[in-house]
Amino acid sequence: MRNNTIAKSAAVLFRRMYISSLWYLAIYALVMTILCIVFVKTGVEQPLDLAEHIAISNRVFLLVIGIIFPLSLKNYVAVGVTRKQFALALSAAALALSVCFTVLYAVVLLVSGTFSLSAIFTIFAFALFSFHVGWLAILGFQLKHLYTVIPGLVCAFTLNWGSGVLAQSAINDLLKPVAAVAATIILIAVIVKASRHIKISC
Amino acid sequence: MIVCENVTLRYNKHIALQNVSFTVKENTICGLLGRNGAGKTSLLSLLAAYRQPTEGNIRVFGETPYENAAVMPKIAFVYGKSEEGNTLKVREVMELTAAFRPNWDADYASLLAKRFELPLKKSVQSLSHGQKAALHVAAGLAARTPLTIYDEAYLGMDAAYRKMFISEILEDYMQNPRTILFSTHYIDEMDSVFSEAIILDKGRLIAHEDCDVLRQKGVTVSGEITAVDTFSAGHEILSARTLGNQKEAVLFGAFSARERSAAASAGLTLSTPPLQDLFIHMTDKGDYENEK
Amino acid sequence: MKIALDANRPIYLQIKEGIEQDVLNGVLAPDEQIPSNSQLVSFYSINPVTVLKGVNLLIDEGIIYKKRGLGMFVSPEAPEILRKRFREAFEREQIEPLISIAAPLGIGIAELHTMIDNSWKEKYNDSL
Repeated sequence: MRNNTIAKSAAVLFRRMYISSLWYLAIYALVMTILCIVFVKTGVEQPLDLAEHIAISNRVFLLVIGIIFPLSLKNYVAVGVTRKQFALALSAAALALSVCFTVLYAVVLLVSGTFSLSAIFTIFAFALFSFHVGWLAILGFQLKHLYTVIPGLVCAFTLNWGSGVLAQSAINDLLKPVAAVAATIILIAVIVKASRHIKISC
Repeated sequence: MIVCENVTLRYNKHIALQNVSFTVKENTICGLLGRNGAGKTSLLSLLAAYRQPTEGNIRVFGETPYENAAVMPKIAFVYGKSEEGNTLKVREVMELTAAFRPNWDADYASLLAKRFELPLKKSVQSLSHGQKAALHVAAGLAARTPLTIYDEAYLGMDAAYRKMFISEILEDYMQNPRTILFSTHYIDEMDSVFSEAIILDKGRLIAHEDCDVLRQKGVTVSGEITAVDTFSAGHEILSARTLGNQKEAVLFGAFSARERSAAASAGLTLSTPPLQDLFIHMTDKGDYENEK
Repeated sequence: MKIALDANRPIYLQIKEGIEQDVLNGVLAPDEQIPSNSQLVSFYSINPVTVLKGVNLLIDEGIIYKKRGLGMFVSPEAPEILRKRFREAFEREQIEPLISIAAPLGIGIAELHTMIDNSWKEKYNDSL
């Protein structure tokens, strides 16, 4: 019964994320197409590193939905889902979404001929990490104490900046995603534990 | 089935509930009465595992409900949720609730949607107040959870909807008994629905009785002023008013048959005040608990 | 049958009295079925426990009896039981106060008889 609830919640959450993502991708594709046309027309030389751009965009997108989706906790508690079950379900849904984005990214890389396993792994790890960073930020607000809001935001900013630095750094290409995944696991543990104290207001 | 022991709830400085203890048996419809700010919603949100008490114990179905995966699905909390920004359609909300409520009765849900005239394809945020309330109530009823809590769930409903709401609750309760907690301000409209009542005043529990017992504890005595005063002497007077040489007083306490017939012989008229009046008087007097 | 309930009196008593009135008036005949608990709940929009209280009192007093699986029915002795009880109540609640009020007004027993005769004739045209 318990696992069933987590699976059900994850499925519902994933479906919602999926729809948001479709919108994001559609708008992103539209904007990029327009930009490309503009650049071509105006003759501006813009060596657009598409892969890099997509990677950053994805991270931002996941950061943002990592902020928005945890806010639906209230709707799930209302139907009898515990906060812990919700947190685990949301992480699972984020994981599934990250996989989807990674697959998409892999296709882009294949098409552009710059396919590399480490790049794939990196984007997956950082996408998942960004989601949880966003979640950490909003968690601070959900706990409704001054001493959670500020640290929450501070941690989130630091991690976000840190992950950007890490991504650009010259560290071994395989170490980066591993670090991101490890950090994500720690974040999940923190979030699940802290979620227990979220009070729902009516 | 519901056991509260010395429950206290503090929001920073404000004490919402103070030392509240009571037990509610299975399959009763229990009314929760109290003025605005008395602590009704706070108490109900504790039972629904929306938050934890600052002190004290709560047990629902024998266990603490907070973060309890076995108990939380058995509790439905129906209240005036704001639904702002909820872009889901009515039908989708029902489906979402259905997915998580093991006892969900889809046929009953359709029937209720028809009875309350809910537009299935409209988005929830575009519904009227009454329709939103009807949706919450319908979802609460069709969920068939062993414990259902209605916190002024009828707010926004017109009189016709309120009547439907009450008759649905009773009808469903008869066929599928469950425990129902029901908070209301419309006491005279709804007091026939509950068999027992809990009264909160300023965060404290001031009464928890079978409704008939509670009603019998109030007596309205009217007649000539001195006769009323003589009769009232030694009893707690909740309220009194005079018109000319006639006086009407509402007294609290039990009166024996002998006292009642003595009153009749003295030319006094005795009657039982409706629960709503008794409630108003009880919660006007802040020191009721001390006098008890 | 009571159409509307009085907020000033216990509801279970009113349910009980409603049925008693019907039995006395002949609306409910001996061995006839009374409305079921669910019908009473629906009609008055009241808690089933309340209905049960009233109905159980009727059973205790022998006014109605339960037939397993079928419902509740008026006892054959019910009209008689009720008539007896209401007679005693009538005497206690109407006759005695009548006499207590009449005497101080100077109305003697003979005058009282005349008053009753006249009122009766007026209302029932000499029939009994």
